[in-house]
Amino acid sequence: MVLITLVSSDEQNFPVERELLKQSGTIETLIVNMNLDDEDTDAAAMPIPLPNVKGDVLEKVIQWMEHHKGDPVKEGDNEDNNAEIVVPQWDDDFFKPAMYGSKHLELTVAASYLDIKNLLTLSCKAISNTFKGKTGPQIREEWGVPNEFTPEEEEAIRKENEWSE
Amino acid sequence: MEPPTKKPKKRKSNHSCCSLCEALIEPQFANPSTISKQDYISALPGDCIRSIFSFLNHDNLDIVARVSQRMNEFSNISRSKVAKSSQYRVVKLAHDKLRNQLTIWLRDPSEAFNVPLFEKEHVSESEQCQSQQNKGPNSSIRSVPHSTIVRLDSIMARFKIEDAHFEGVKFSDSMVLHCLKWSQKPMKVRVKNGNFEEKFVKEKFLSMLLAIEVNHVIVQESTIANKIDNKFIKEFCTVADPSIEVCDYADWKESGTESDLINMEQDTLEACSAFTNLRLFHMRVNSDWIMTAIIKRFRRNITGVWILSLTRELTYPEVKAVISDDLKHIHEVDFSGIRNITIMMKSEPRPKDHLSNLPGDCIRFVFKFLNQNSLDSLARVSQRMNDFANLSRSDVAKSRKFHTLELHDDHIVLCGIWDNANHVVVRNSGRLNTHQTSRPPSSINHLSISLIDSIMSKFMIRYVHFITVKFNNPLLLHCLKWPHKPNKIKKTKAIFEEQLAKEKLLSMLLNLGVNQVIFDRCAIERQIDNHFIKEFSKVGNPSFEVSDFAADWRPNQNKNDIIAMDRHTLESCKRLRRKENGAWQLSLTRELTSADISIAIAYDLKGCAFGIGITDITEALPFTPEHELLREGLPSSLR
Repeated sequence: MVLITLVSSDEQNFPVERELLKQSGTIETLIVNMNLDDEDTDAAAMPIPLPNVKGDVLEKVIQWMEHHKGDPVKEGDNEDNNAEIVVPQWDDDFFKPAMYGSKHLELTVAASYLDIKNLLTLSCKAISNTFKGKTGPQIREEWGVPNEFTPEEEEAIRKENEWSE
Repeated sequence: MEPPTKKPKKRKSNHSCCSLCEALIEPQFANPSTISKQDYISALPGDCIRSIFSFLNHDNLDIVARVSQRMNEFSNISRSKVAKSSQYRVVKLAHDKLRNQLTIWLRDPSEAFNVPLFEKEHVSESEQCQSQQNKGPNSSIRSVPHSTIVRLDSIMARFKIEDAHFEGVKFSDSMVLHCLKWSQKPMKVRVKNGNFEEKFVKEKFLSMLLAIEVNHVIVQESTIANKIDNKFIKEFCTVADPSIEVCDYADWKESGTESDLINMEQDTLEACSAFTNLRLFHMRVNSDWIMTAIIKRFRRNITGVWILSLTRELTYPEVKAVISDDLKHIHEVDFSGIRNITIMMKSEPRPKDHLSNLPGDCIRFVFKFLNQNSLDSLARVSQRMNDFANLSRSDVAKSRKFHTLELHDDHIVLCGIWDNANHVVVRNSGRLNTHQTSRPPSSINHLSISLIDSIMSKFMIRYVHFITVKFNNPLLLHCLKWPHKPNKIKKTKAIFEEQLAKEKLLSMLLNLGVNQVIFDRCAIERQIDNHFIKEFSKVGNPSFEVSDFAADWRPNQNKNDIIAMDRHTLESCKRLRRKENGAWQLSLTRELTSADISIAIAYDLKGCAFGIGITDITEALPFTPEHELLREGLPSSLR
């Protein structure tokens, strides 16, 4: 089993199974460019630095990848089927504890940076689910968003978007 | 995670204008955007926010747009990615001049649902004064307020609008700019009674149509016609299945003159063969070039209509010589004189099944063995089957169930031979519900004309009675092509759409070989001249009755309207020797006396003449004031 070491922004090392990393477009590109798949190359001696991902977030990412080992990797943007995507129960439980906090959002940003399409899709879908059926003030309260609008502006936005009285 | 860099924003309390109009990217709000430490969601990178928002629908985006300025911005950006509702496909922005109210209408594809979204406008006193002073044709049309333009943007983002319809709307520079940026580009744009704020807006509007790649433009606005020139046509034809319809002849005639016609260049005409529909009264096409373009268009086998002005009148033989037999059955060319040519293109999709792939002759041979009911069923199988079922009806035995066809402008009545009371109303259009006894006759619509053709092909109709219809070219053209010709035609309270239709009706009567004609009103007498009577007399047992003297003719005519019957024409009318029932009613140059009649009538005729006589020529009819007329000759007022 080939292990490749990932280094987080806070200098933590994470040895990860080569097979798992196929889910990340960014790391896969680095592995190919660094010839880490060559038999002659000592992959263990060449860690991959990930300066945009903190250790605790990278740990969560690896945990997610381990659970989804062997899942087919999405290719390209497939936004047409967004309405049909359902967050599986395991993933829902995985995201829930950190929901409404910075950790879940950092996980989403990491998924975007590492180009892990399935994680990004499920993570975004989970966030979007928190908006549904809520009012603007409710969303503000849950996500800690300050109100920047004057009442007139809020009314103007409402009128701009309404299509039927 | 660092929050994104905050860009300095202009403070603006007035929300009357938008980012698009000010050529700015970000919306303007009174307070600056502040992303607090706890506001993780607004601090997400743009890609992540867009990814999250791609899971939301328009209703959800409406909500998040009101959460924060950053989310507002991304909700607007994300709308183009969110699936649009197909519930409404047509949007109409109409201005009600009386109420000074703008209304946006949303319609579903079948136009069964019409949702009005009212946008009231308030006109200031100064504007009212100004509009009263400048009472031009479209002086009361005001520019669309910015709030309505923005609302239209929102509708275009939310629904899969395919047809954008503007009625009584003045286009401003800002409005054209907004149309250009619509996330959903409509396929069809219609403008009726529109206006443009400045001259350059017209050009911008046309550029916008090219830029958003609309493929069907209907502009019922003659003032823009001169801008739709060779260059525009050539650029427009690059879209798939292009169609341009620029005002009808009546509209164009109001503002245009012969010198305003734009000559169509040859390469433009070549490009025109790509057009499905083409209505360009304001462009004059060289008649020597047109047939090549028409044939090229026919070969595309797509349904459509072309109406164009020509440099000289084309003749039927000229057209017939060019159109090959296989195209003649599918397409129609109609001429309305030098002014225009109408070409109806009917589609014949390539058949996929073995039956439809049979050669036309074979299909007609097969269909000869069928009856009308079987042809009805086959007509519903495919378009090709439908075409051949119609062609074959003339070969198939016709039902004698109905004898008389009464054509009204809003319904059709079929009557049997023996039991006229037991008639059948075949079709009622929507107009029947609002039937008014005093309303003027109107044209029979295309659907009804097709239905009449179908009736004529199925039944042995001997007598066609046109009642309160308006004769126009399409109706007369179809009558001429009836597979079964009636013997008798009567016209009651029917009128003519144009002078040309009168001549066409008479020529139709001759072509159909009708032998009994009864016309009520005197609108057509001038056309019934010596030449016509001589031609008409060639059919067996001809009868021609035009207007009742007392009721119709006398109140409307003067002496100058009387046509002198020449000797040859009168020769063709020899009557007494035929010893058949009938009635003659004619005006005379002088009063005939009993002596005149007595000398002229030979003894062999006199024998029975007492029974028949000159006034008793209609022995089956009782003595009526009509016979008085014959005796009296011309009334004193006309002598």
